[in-house]
Amino acid sequence: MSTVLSVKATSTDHKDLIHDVSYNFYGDRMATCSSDQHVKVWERDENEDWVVQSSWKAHSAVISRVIWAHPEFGHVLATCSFDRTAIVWEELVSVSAPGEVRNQWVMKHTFVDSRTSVSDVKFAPKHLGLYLATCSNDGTVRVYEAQDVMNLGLWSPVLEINIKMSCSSISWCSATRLPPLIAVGCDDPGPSQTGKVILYEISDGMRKYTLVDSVVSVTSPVQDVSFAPNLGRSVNLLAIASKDVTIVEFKCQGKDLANSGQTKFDQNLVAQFNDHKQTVWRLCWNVTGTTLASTGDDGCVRLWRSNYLRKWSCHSILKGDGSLIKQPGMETSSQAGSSSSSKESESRIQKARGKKDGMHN
Amino acid sequence: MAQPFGHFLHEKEENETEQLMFVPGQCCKGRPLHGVLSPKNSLAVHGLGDSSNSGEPSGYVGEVVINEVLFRKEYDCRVVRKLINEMSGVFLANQREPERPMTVDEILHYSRSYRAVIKLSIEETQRVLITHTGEEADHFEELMRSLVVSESAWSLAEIIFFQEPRGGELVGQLLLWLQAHINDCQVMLTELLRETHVESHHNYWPAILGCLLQGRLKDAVQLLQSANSLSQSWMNVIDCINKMPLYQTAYSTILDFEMRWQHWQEEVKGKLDQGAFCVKITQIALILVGDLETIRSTVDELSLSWYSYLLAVLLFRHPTARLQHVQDLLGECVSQGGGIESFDTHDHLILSILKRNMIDLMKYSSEGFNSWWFAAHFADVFHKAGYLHEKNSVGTNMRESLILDYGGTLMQHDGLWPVGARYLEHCPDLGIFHLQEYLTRVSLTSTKKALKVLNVCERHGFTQQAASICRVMAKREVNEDRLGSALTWCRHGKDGNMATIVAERFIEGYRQQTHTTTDVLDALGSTMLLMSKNLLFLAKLREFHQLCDLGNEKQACALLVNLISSRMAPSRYWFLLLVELLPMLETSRDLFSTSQIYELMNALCELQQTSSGQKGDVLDPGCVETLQLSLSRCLATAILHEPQVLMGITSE
Repeated sequence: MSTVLSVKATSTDHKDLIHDVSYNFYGDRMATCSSDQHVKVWERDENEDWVVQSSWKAHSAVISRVIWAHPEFGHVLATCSFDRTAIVWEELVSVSAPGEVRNQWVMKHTFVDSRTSVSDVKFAPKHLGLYLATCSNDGTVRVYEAQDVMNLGLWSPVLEINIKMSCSSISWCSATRLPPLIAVGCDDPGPSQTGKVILYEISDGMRKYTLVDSVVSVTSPVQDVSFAPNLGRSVNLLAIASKDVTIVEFKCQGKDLANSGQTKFDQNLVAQFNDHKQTVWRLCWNVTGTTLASTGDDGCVRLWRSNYLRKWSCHSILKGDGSLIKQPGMETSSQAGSSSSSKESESRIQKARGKKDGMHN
Repeated sequence: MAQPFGHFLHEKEENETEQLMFVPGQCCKGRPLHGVLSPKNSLAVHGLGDSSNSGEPSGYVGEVVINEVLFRKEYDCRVVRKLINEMSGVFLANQREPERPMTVDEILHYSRSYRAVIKLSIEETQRVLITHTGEEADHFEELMRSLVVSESAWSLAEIIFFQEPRGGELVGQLLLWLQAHINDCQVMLTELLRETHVESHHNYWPAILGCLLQGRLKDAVQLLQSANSLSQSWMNVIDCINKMPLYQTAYSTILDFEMRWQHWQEEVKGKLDQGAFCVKITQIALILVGDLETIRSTVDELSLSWYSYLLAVLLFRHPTARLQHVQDLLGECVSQGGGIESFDTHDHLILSILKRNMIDLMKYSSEGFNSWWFAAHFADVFHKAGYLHEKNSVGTNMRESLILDYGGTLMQHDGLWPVGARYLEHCPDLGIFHLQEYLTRVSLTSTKKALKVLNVCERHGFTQQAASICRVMAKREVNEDRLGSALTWCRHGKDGNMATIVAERFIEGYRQQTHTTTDVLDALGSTMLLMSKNLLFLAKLREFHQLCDLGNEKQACALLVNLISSRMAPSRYWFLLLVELLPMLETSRDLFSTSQIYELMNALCELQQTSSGQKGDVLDPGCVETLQLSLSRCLATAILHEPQVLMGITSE
């Protein structure tokens, strides 16, 4: 049966390409960041269209990532850029008169420790508190702690990890029953003993880090890593974007008492797909960790899912058709390829539309 | 996801392709397409900027667009929402706690309830289709297809899996199914009967043959009889048709029936050989005797489906066939119908059901549809009938897997999340985890909504999630300076930390005289137990105000002095309390005893000593002076009222 795809187009008014889009926790707001050095925050209006709520120049170079903090901390965003900084922004709501609410995004803190471009910024899972991790092209991962959740201007560095390879992305593991765990993806083209994805466990009040595992089999540069949300699973899934899409499973095997009490993991390659046939740039999990979206140089978005026997496969491919949209903000629909409907049920539909039935089906 | 994801069990075949979809619009040709999944059934797609060029502007010229693919747009449609709600009613009415297998009657009742809902929805969609055009009509057409196909498959599954009619009855049941779902010949019949010169209408013979092949014997006869000139040949064939035996368990055994049926076919054959039929009628007669060639050519002529062909063959060649026999005929019928490559979803479903292939059936139920509602409910019926109980390595089964997905999409929709929650509640393995996650993601657009979500959390004992929601609401209130409301949320969520934060903010505002006190203090009162012990003094402050309001000023002052001297409050708040007392000190009324004044002076001294070394809380010297003056004057007045003290002083 053919499917009708509903698409809503939003003309963003960014003056250059977008590098990242992030939905907030509820999916009712969106943040975009671009090569034009601007960040835009969007909300839905009564027609469910996206309208820009704020737009400002956030950095002095290309902004590579934008991410929302958990709503428990308020309306907070973090961005990182080629200008070697990462910044935390907070929305201030001022009520000048009843019904007159003004929103303004304010820079709360700028992290200037990096000596090279900051390639990724991620908030830690909220059960750890308000922490932020950044990674840079010079191979440094830094973790910062908010000293006062009511005053986001005060942050202090708690950890610095020096990896000898350029880093492209980081991901926090969200499992609440494990000690804090960060996966770092390295886009360094050189050789490496550990492979290009390294896992660090953080302990001692977020002050100490230990290398607990790495994905040795992934040796080509990694552009993105992402832990899947862990809902009721006993294993943690990590998706890796390099020359292909790789999904690795980590199962906690308890503490290695012989080795300073760090957690031991059982690592298992769950899936590896080179459908994109070229570099895979980005990965994105859905809220329950059951669907993975991948972005490749082949111009497609692929959606991956596992069947109930936990076998992963690609279920949809989305491709831009390069056509011009009719009007910004208007819904358009697109027919999928695929089979036609049953001949006989078709006639029933024709009947329903009031057309005269033909002499035969 | 416009196309649901397959929940199939077998290895993916080579010729299977994924669903390819085109997202219209300028997606920045030449750039990779970045897809971001949202918590609300959608995917944002845009051309990704190049991060490998050291941060230089890309020089891209043109519109920068984000295209958002909306996966469950149909959930906004009134007809679909009604369907969803009705189906959930049926689903919930048939869940048993603890699980026990259903009897055949219960299963049939359950299955039929769903079908009844679908049929109602079909009618509704038909009505709506007439009034819509263009794109919306496309959506409704698609809905119509899903409904029609699913009802057809469902009713056939009922026959084959749940009813399991015995030998001779199977063909009769299958014919009823076919007649109910493919009724073009009946439509033609109705039209034709309005005509005067029936037999010259181009649909005349197609209608007769169509009815015949479906076993609508009376209709076929009616059409034949309505011809203007009935030759002997026609009368003969009408006679033959009327005499055709139809199997009914109540009246005969299979053997008896088969004998009568054979006898009847021989009779017709005899008449054929005698030439009792004219050319036009011969075709009918040949069908009656079960001539395969004629049946085939008629099926082709009428462009009927492979299963119509199957049933015609059964009716006129094997009327008492058992399922095994039917299955043996499938291969031939499928190739007659153009082969499996030409199959659409409906064909696949029918074939899987007839083959009793559960795996294929579930696969096509989830793949071929634009929505999971069919697969999830269908699987539940099978599960209740004892199928689909195999579990995978994480301990879930297919039925739960499908219902989790379906429930999940509902939970992502602002209006349907309560319905989704009910589904997730009936997924014993992973339902709880998914429910917890989705509940925290429901947009908290109003207090009423937040309370509704909290209600569900509390019902399940999800304390963490409830606390999180309360905290989010409290933070919002704090941000907009509504401290009283914030405290209410803190109390609801038993959030001591947040309550402390709000209280401190309140005190800050209080010192700067920017807050009205009473309502916040009242709210504070009820959250007292949650907060840091440092702030318990606020309860006393509230009591102080209450006593003042009642006119009990002396008692109020005693309370506050007590508070200060007991050092219950942290030192940084003493100044605040002293300032509270200022108006009391200024009055000439006898409100303080000398010992009380001494305590206050003591406290003030201590404050002055400690504050000089501390940053922050700098005491306003003007205020300090005022206090000292007031305290002195008050002391003087107090001494005069306390003779023994006066005596003590003067005697030195």
